[in-house]
Amino acid sequence: MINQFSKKIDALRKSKIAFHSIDRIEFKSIYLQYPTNDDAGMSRAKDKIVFQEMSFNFPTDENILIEGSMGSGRSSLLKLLAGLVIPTRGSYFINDCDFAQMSFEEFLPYRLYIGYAFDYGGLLANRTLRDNLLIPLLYHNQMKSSEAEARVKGMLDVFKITGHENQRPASVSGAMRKATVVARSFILHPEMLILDDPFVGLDDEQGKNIVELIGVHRRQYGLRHVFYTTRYERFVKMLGGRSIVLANSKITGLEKEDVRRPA
Amino acid sequence: MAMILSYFDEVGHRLIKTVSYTLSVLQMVYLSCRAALFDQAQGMRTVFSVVSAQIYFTGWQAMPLVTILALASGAIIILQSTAQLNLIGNAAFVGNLMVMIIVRELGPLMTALIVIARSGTAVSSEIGNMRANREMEALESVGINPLSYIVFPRILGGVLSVLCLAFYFNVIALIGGYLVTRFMQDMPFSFYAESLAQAFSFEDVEVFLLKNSFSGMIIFVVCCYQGMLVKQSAHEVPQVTTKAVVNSIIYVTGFNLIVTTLFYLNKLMVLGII
Repeated sequence: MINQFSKKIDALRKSKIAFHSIDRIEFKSIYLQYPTNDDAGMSRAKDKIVFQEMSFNFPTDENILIEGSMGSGRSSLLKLLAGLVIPTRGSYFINDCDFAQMSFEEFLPYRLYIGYAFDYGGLLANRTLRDNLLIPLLYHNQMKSSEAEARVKGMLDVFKITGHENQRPASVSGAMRKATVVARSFILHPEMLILDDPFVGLDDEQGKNIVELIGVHRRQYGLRHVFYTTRYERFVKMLGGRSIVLANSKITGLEKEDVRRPA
Repeated sequence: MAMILSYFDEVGHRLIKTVSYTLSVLQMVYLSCRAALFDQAQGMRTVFSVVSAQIYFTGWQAMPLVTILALASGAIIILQSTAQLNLIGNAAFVGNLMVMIIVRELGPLMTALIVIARSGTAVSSEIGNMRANREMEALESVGINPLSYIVFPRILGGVLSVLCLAFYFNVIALIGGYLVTRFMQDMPFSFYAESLAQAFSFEDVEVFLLKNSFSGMIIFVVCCYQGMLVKQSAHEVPQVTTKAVVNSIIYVTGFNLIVTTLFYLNKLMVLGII
């Protein structure tokens, strides 16, 4: 048993060493179904099928807007990309590795290269806003406390959270919580950034700061792939890039560069 | 005949459900230990901060309640037993009775029930709410395994807290209980202390460690598991919390009963009775 453990750990170390960057993002025959949340049998709701036989080779190195009507599965698609939802069937390839077949530990090296911002919630309620940004840096033992503190301070300044950083999420406004969630998605300097409605509840200045931060991370910190959803045209215009349209439980196509959006 | 068959069907169904529940709980323990101890990428400093917080909430904050219950239990048993033992002229057996009842039985059980009522409910509802508020997903999104950051420290902190609380309960019940009854009876302390010293054996330490460490583990493992069963909605939290308390009490009392039974069977075998 101990030998099996050590083999697993060796494999994990090797996979971390071998992993350099995300070059290929592909879905193959993805089927995603959410079971009804009804143990008591009091609801008549049926299991919800979100995606059926969805295959798609995602474009890389650009900003991709996910479009679709309400309930079309935009958030589910982003969660799948972030590895937060395991597909019911099918394969999700990052480079040559199938996420659907990987354990949490095996996917960890990839996960550290993916930043994800929730559309709502997602902050640790019993920690301050500062701790919410600090924990990912300290947990992974990647840097000294002083370096982590400096990075968090920079992020607090960009998102105008400074002055409220020692409050818990319940004590601050919704905009502040949203800003913290978006800030956290940048904190590990991801290569792939996934933003689920990042501009909701934020003012124009904070929205512009996010757009600028994406540019800064592209130039300085190795950010390559950005997937996002939003209903605000002004930010879509600022970010540019192409869009993926979701309908009928599938990706119906990749829109060409839109005239309304300068690249 | 149909009734008998349906009865066996029901028993079999419940047995399978209990076995699969136990296996799932054990799987969670294995995965959380593996994640916490074998993941080289994580720093243990954040995990230990959660362990210390758990010890503070479960151990330190429970001390006033444990003190009151230990004083009352110790005093009641001393008063009741000395009254009966004096009648038969065997007052020196008070130490044996105290060790048997407090150290081996009441201490582990009372401590476990206090911890279930205070911390088991808190852990289960906290984890349930974290699931409902997507905090677990948030941890996963930044590469933090909830099993190593949330579950493992709570189990470790919980086991350490239960062990310390049970030791504290025993000390307060044995010594404090005597001091409380000092106003009502005139047994000299030297007599009581000598009786206790003669009653203690190495087996008591074994039973103490076995019962309390496993009780702590059962409580926190079951409560964490129930909390993790919340899927997405806050309305599930009270349901899983109630189930966590019920299951913890059943498993802990069952475990205590099994250990006590095996302990006394072993004694009877040593004495050559069976």
